[in-house]
Amino acid sequence: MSVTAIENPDLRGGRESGTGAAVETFKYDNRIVRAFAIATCIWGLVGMSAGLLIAVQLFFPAANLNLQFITFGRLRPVHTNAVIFAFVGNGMFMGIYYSLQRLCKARLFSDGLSWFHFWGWQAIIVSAAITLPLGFTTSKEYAELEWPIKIAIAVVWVVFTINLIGTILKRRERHMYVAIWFYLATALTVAVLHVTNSMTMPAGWFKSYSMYAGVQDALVQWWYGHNAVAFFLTTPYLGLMYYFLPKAANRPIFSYRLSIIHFWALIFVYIWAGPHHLLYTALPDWAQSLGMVFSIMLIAPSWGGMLNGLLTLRGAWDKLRTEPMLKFMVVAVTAYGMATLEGPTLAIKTVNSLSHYTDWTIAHVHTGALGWNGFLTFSVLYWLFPRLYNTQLWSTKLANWHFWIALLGMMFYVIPMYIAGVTEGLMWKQFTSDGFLQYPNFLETVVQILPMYRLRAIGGTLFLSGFILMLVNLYRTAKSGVFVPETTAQAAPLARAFKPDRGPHAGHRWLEARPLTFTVLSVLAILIGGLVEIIPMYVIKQNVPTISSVKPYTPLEVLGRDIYIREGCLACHSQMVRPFRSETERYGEYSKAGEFVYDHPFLWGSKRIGPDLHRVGGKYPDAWHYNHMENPRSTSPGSIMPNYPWLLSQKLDVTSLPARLQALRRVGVPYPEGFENGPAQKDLAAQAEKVVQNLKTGSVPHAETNREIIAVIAYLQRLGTDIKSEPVAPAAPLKTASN
Amino acid sequence: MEGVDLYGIISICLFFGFFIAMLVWAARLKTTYINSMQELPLEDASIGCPPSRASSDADRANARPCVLPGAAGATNSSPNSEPGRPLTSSNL
Repeated sequence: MSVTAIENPDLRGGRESGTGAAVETFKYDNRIVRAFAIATCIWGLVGMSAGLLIAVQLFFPAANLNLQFITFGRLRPVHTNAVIFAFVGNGMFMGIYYSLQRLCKARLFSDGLSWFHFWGWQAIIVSAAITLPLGFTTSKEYAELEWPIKIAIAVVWVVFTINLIGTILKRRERHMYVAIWFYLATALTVAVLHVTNSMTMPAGWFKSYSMYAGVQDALVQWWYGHNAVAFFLTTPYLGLMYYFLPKAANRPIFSYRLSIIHFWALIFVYIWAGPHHLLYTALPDWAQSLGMVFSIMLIAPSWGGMLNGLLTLRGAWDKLRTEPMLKFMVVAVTAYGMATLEGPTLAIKTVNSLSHYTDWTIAHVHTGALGWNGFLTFSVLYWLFPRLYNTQLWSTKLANWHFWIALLGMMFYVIPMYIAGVTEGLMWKQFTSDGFLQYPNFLETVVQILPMYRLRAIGGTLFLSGFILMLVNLYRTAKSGVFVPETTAQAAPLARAFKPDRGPHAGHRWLEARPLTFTVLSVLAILIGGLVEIIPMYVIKQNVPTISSVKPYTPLEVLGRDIYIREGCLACHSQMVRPFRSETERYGEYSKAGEFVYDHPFLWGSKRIGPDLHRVGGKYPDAWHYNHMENPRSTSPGSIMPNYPWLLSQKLDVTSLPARLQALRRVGVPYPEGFENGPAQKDLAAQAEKVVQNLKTGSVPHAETNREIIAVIAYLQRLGTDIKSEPVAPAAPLKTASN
Repeated sequence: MEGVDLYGIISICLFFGFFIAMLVWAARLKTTYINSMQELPLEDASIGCPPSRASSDADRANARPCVLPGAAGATNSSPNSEPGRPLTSSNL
């Protein structure tokens, strides 16, 4: 039965309805949606289980079974990559491919590209799951994968973008709904972020050094890192919200006008927020201030999105009682609002001076990750599966159980982390009335918050349990229905000549009809913030003042640093002493930008589960480090650090030294030409011999020069010594009040 | 620090310029156009589902989620209308 499209007077606001043209019949591809949906479920299970394991390891270090492959440092990136790129990634593709076709009234541009995208993405995830536990990592957060995988990501992402834009170009609905703008912004910005932050110089198949160093590397990394949150975790999910919420509630979004405003504001302002990860570090003040101010401004567009979502349900809140999908969606949007108020709050320098490096940051992340990303993914899955399988949800009751268990789990996660975070922050800053640190031993703080770590693991267990209930429900739903591989649809093609309306209302409507122009403008919007913040870091010399006594790492130290990166020490230890008295008293002189000019990549860290290490050089004898690495509890009772006995037995790989030094030279570290062909090896042997002699003096008589631990000790003993300052303990009590 | 100040000034000008222009655009959009764009997710051209949502409150209250022919709970086999509701221009 053919249907002639009839002009609807309601639509005459400029939307083309293909008057008089014969409709075309076509089919939406549901197979690719199902594939991504199943992948979302599987990787969600993997990623959350990894998260639970590392959460348990924090109060029960033996949970790593003394295996180097599953220590906290090696496993944390598995968790973050799995939940961000595997769980949310597949979830976003599932939702995008479903909604895009229906909003464009067109099948996906290319089935071939769809499946290349799917299998390519899964292959990348599997390669991450293999390489990360093996220690092949760049150490840069949410960008840990080494360069061959980064190239694969770029290829698959380009394929996705072509599929996305190709579908838009063959659409039968001329104007792009708001969800599509968010998808476009995601595709383009992630491409820019990925390529820029992945600029590395290979030193082997699975080893590379960042082209950026120190302060510049920190800024590029957190420009990337925060915008990974923005354009991977936020914008695509806002797009999904704008489609699935109206669909499920059967009413339009609250305000389309608001969606226009908050979209442009969001994508423009978000980019500048990166420096809020670097407050009170060696990043220049002006960049920190920009990051702070723009982060606070970000409340407005973020809450625009939240309000648009919640107000869509005005007068229809009773639907939540019967529709689990809506329960999850509402909590997701609310959690989005909470996280986007908390984030800007944490970006205020004063607040950040307390919260940085503490578990408050972790609490904040998981409000967004569990609440916004988790709950919204669950919402979409509960909505999609019955429709993909042409049936009803197997058990609404089970879905409701999932909802309440997951919500409880989220509370048990986030609230203990708030308590832990504020406790840590305050304890680190506490001074006695005589002017000494109240808790000079870092371990005193660790021990204090262990009960909170236990509660958090309970929260994670609950959240994961709810997730498993959902998997059961979705599986039974699929079994009870019949899969609909394709949905037939009809719509008229676009007329060739499109006459835009004249007059003042043409504006954004004109733009929505022109996806490529829209694309270019979006890219410009997101580029501005990055360029303004990053370019001055290179061209204005006073941003990174040179310190003449700072020299490149020696060959032995380079190998030791690479082992530090391999083991993921960055996950627990920072290397950035902030200019607060509480930090200079505890660690020594605060860290200067010029000290990091040869740090490829930078290792400032974001969390102190253990103490800062930037001034650890010379603080303890070599033997202390030897014993501490073998069993941290032998030198530090109560420590939750894993054992690293393999460092004492594994041989140091000196054969890779020439490739490493060459790569470092190429990214700007001034090793002399020919250094790696003999002189470097001699240098290494001599320094290793010195370390072994020190160890003998320190009653470790059996150490051998060719073990990895020698390199690690050499690296640790170098840290922070370049400026020739020594860690200061106050000679006389200070009477002034201090922070 | 003059060189750096300039970047801040450029940034502020860009920011305010862009957003004032955008707010003016958004304020002047026609309501009928806005209404039609808001309907987009509710119509997906699938055969068996009404392509356009009913526009009155009463119809909204009566609207049922789209269930394709042959699905559990579906009562009609006619591809282009909900049971009992003839095709008219207002529900296409």
